Amino acid sequence: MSVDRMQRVALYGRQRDREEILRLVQSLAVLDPETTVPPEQGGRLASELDRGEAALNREIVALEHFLAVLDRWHPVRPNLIEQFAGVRTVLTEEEFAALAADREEAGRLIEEASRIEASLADLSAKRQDSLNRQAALRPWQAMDLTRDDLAGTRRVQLLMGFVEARRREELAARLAERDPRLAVITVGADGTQEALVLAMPRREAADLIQAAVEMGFSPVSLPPFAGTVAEALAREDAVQADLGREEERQRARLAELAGERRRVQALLDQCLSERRRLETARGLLLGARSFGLEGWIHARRVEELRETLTRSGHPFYLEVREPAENETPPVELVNGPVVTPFEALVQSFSYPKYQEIDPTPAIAPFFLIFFGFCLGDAGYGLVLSLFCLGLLWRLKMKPMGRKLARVFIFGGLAAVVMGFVTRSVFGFTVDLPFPFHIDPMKQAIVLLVAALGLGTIQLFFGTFLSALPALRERRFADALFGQGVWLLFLSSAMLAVGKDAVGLGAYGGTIKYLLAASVIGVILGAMRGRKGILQRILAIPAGLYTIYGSIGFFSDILSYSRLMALGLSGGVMATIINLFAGMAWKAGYGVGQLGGAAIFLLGHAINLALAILGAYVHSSRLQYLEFFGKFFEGGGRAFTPLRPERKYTLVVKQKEA
Amino acid sequence: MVWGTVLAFLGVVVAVAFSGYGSARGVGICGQTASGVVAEDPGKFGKTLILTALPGTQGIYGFVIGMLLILVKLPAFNFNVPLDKGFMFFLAGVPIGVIGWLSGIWQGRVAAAGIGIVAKRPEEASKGIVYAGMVETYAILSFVTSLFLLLNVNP
Repeated sequence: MSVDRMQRVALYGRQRDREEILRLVQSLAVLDPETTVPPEQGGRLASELDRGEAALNREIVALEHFLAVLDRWHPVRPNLIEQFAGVRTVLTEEEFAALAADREEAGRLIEEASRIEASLADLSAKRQDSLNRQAALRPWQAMDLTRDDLAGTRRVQLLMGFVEARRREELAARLAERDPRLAVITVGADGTQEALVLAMPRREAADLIQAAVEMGFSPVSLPPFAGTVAEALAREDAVQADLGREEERQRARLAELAGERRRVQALLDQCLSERRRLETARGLLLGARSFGLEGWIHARRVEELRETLTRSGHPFYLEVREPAENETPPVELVNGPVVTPFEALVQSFSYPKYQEIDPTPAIAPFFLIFFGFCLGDAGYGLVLSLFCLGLLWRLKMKPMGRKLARVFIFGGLAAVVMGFVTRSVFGFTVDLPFPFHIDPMKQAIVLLVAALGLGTIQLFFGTFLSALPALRERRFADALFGQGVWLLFLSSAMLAVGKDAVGLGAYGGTIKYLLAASVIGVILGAMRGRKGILQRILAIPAGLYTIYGSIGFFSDILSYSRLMALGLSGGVMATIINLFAGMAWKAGYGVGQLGGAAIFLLGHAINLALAILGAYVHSSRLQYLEFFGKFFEGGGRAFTPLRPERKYTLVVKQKEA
Repeated sequence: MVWGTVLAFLGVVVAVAFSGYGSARGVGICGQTASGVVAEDPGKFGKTLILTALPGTQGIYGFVIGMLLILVKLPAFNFNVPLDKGFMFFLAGVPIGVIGWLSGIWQGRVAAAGIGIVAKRPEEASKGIVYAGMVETYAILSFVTSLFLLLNVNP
């Protein structure tokens, strides 16, 4: 139920054992390194580390390239759930060790993948060339002349080219005027252009060509081809077929390589872990032949570290001490199994400082109640709980994902309870047994008062929590004048206004006295902090200003009205969906029933999703702003130990089916 | 001519149309921003989807007010609403209509900025969600106001 106790640790060993010791420390994931290295010491190890890191980087780049090639030609397609939860290869420890050990095999795979990638690119380029040639030749496919024929005879020159179809007549006529021996033969078309062959006497060819060009004729020269154009086109088809088959072969080989993805992923993670060790090594203290690693460790895991190092047989020295006054140890939250999932809410916002209390057990019940209040439907709650239960069971998620899933399971159950209170199941009013019922539509005021009441309870509790440090140190006067009179003032102010509503109208006099006493108490509290009579008198306006600040408190309470708004809007929306679905169903003829069922399923699915989103966002926002604002400072640093990198794989103790 | 009923209908129009526009525009701004982020990194789809959905609630609130008016309140009057009550119905639709419209657009801008957070630091998505949720406060308050105004108009 707390922030875990941390101790400052310094681990000394021989430099020649450095890599091995660091590897052990990393595998335990037990030490958060924090060293301040004097600048002159950094240099000695630096060159060795630089070389090591450069070599590792080269290997990492090659491995990542392999994965990139596979992803391009043979991607893994995640289904919708995996898109949210992330896809990673799951391995047991033995599998991981076996796969990562064989660096040579990985090297061979990388080489082969690169070769295949290169040849696939080459094939693709060749195919594009072939297609280009075909495109150039295609307009001429009706032409029955071979390439040799196109060279012409001793006295006749042939020229191929294009002209705009609408200018062809004009071209033919004009050229005929200049030389009636010139023939204009149409062999095909390409869009709006006509493909022409001009046959002209060689001696006048130059002039005629120039004239033709001026009239819009564009000569072309075709890529080399053998036989007729039609034959050439057929041959290109055959070439493309060959290329296609070769491409298939290469892709098949790549598909086989894709089976080795796990090996590369395991090796990658191992290389990343190695690199992390080298980075940590940069922060080591260095002696002549020894090194020192300083950092933070869980108090309860010191023995574990000591035993592991002892078993390794390397000489070492472990120095452990409590954190000093001015030090800020990193924070890890430790809670019982029921409260632990709610750590996700604290982690999303801000870690507590090391000396602060862990707010998780405080927000757990409130968040649950608020979430249930907002979702407020037994059917929705059940669906949510079952869905998250299924997710937990089938999917391997990271710790944060697992925590959130559990939060939603509990939240769904809270919503079921609220559904019993409001007699709401998927928007239908069902008579469910419960000691009391509230009808959200007819008794909206009751719901509002309940929400505001919950808010008041939480804010009072938050104020109490802010008094805890003083109470723990037995500074009762501080707690009384700090928080005690404040709570008294708020209570008496609320009672003074609402005493009739809660049936305490008779105590009007007593309440007035309590109110007056608490105001004096607040002012006295403001004066306590100052020394000297003048300062104390000047503190009175400060005290009055604090009283005025109670408006802030009351507006915080009003903020809790959103619980009622969300609960109501979700419930009314569900009722409306049912209304529409019912109208469609009654229309009948089979189509009506289909439409009604569709409206029901789709409408409730969307409403459920939005309601869950709203319930989560607003329940947690109330914790972060209104509740935390009373007692929580935050700004702590998370405990991030030196641990093995697991970017591509997930290593589990044993495989589940 | 039952002008009261006409005014009540107008109240429904204000509640639904204005808040719906606000939500549509807010969600639209987010959708555009989210598309840009996902074009660079499809893995961020889930987180950006949550942020994009957030400004959608104003339209829902307006729809709820409108439907309550049509399906519950008007039948109670037999669709024969006197002028003063009709005007009251109209006014009941105004808070959620106007504030749903304005807060929907602003919440869209905040959520779009939150998508920007996700683009750079996907692990801090929840902070963006909290920022967007802050704008919702006023939509909720206006929903509650519209609701109470509505529920207090009786034959």
